[in-house]
Amino acid sequence: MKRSLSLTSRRTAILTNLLSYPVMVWLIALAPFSQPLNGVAIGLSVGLFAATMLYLFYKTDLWIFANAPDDQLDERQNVVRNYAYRYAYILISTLIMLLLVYLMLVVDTGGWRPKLPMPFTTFFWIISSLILSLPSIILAWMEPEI
Amino acid sequence: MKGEKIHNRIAVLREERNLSRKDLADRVGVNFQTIGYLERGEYNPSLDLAMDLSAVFGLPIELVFSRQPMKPLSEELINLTNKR
Repeated sequence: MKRSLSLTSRRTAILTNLLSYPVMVWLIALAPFSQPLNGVAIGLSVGLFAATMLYLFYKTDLWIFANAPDDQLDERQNVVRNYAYRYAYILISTLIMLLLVYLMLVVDTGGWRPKLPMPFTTFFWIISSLILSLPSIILAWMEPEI
Repeated sequence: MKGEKIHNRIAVLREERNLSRKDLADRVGVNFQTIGYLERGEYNPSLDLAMDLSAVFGLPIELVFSRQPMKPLSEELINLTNKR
């Protein structure tokens, strides 16, 4: 069975999904690891992220579209996918470069940085998750009909 | 570089032959949504796909695709007859 989602629902889910990243960081920063609230905060934000991912990609062709071998897609789908991967690459590399510049400034000048219990682990999971999901998310945002 | 728009008669020819988008898509080996994109002029096909589509309709490629907006087929036929 294949579900089809309207463009408005897809875009709402994508915005919620992307919003869950800063919410996650904010909640983790608010509740230090020692407090019992921390588990709930992380659970809520991870739950929000997982729910929007499931809504977008469960039983839709969106994830397959972005990850299928070339010969399983037709020529138009390959063109659209190449476009999505190009934009995902630009967005991710810009984000990583900005993070590196920020870290360089923080390390060299002792500037402000968020007080997170495990900053590197947190950023590792955020960047990894974005790298994996961004091409599919761009496709879900762009495709008028799925 | 984005190419110039290519006009086509796919929708008319498909309707004339009572083919659904899915039927036509299966015959040329593409997704049925791609036929919709072609009919709306939102995607320019490769030469390979354009030739496959023309072959399904049994028409020369220039009667199915054109750089200029397509005239009605009847007008096209009159022009062809007049040239002869």
